[in-house]
Amino acid sequence: MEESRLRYLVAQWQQSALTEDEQRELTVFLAKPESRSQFVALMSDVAGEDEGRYAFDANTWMPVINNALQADKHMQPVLVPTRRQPLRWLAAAAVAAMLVSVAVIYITKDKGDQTLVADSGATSPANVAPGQDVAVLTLSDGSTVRLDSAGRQTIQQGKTVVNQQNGSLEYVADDNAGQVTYNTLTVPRGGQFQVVLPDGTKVWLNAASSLVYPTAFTEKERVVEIKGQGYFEVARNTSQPFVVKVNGMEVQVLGTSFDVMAYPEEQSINTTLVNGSVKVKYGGLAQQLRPGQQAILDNATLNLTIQQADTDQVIAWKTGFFEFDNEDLSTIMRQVARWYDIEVNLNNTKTARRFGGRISRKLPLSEVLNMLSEGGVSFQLKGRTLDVSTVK
Amino acid sequence: MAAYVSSIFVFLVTTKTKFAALSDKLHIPPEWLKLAGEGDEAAFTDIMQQVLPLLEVITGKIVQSPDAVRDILQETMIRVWVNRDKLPELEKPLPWLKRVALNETFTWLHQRARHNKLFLPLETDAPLEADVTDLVSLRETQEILRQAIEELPPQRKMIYHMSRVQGMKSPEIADALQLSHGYVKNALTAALAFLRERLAAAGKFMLLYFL
Repeated sequence: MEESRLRYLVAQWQQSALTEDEQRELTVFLAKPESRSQFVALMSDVAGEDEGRYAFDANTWMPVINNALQADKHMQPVLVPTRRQPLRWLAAAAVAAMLVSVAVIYITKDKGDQTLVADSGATSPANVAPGQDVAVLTLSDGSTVRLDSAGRQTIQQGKTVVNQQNGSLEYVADDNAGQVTYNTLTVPRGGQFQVVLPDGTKVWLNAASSLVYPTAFTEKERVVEIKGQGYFEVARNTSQPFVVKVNGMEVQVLGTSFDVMAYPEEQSINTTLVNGSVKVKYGGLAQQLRPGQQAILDNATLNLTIQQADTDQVIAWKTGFFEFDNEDLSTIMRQVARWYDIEVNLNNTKTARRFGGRISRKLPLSEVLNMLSEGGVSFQLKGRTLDVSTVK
Repeated sequence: MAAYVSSIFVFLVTTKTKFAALSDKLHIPPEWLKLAGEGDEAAFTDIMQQVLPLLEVITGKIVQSPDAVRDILQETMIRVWVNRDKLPELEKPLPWLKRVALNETFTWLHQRARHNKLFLPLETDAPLEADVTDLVSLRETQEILRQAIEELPPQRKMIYHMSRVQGMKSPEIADALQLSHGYVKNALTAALAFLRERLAAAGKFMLLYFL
């Protein structure tokens, strides 16, 4: 548009004197992306700098400034700095020092350095690959289908259709499924898998875990049973509550996201609510959780306690990370063992030392061990058994 | 929200000579720009407190609804913030800041023009509380940034995290990670460049820095 024409139109607009044709002309002009530079040039040409002698209105503008400053702060935690009440910590200062060294190790890894010392009979942890998307699906007739990360297939059983796409399995809802049958999805050590149940509920299964579920939810309640660890995003259906059974404990759900960790070798069953609402029931005990809370059912004492949890840390496995915050060595090594499918021998460890840090689960075992060796822990791998010892 | 968009444009009568004569009136000390460029939030806030009244007037004379002005300047603030590393290099920061605001003004008008709503009243179905209305584009921008940050390579993300969330200065980060100061600065610059790239790819207008 001619500059003089634009000046004229804008001046007319200012006086609310535009004809309908002129309104249309201006609309067409501003609707064209290429009008941007002409518009900006013209307007900055005439905009003065003496107009700003008004007081700064903090009530209006401070929130705007702060929004801008906060806009690039939203991120998953990378490191785990000191948080929660330090009273519970045995050696908060030691942990803080550890975090820094863990960070350094994490960083310097890219530069590529030594694998761990190997002597005769030892294997290199650099060759121990991380877990993958693998699982076994057991159909109602007992037959099994092997699922791996590269697979794409459709499994038909009766009227139920199941699609596998890489690391995920999806059930297609069929309201007239007829007889209800049960499937079992079993994830081995060194594996993980995702399944979308017929009601749309998504379940992520961690290594050494399994889930039993019907191929159609026709009962009053949607009941599934889990072993190991899973993260649930339950499709909302208030008229048909979702129930997760875990070693005799029950988690009752309306529509929500939560994590259940119930490995037999762990001390407790931990139910962590990310959002929504769940009720944890065991025997006569029942506790309602609020988002961010974790219910801990102690396997030995059968006490049910509630505490605040770091949900990002609890579900780090689902997003592809190990995340440790003030954890002892055996807790960490149990997670490592399940994911890398190794046996861990902790007989030569004597340490109250605790560790923190975050590292990708996609790296070979050696990277994780290097991170821990900074904290005075040494490792030797023989076959698939890892001997762990602490220096002093 | 009763503001009408007709009579949106009100020409400023200021002439170019006046502009030149008054250009040193509103002064942004180079030291503030340098600090803001290093991610100093207080310095950035100081600069914005200085220029916002001016930007408010310039934008307000074009778009008369205070809500629209805030919406536009919210996006402007974010554009400036993700370009902060370029602030110290600007020879004329004030005209550059005005251009960012005017570009966001154009974006706002352009969107309304594209839907043929330029001369229609502003929607009244939006929530009435003023601080809710500007959240739509803000949320969108925040989400783009959030996703972009998650996509940074791990080391760069960690450095960015230490800088933004933990509020560490780049020499401190370099110290903690046993990296050179230059390396950390480059990582932060590269992270910002990536955020800008993502905003641009999502259709958010990014003004070039030279001026």
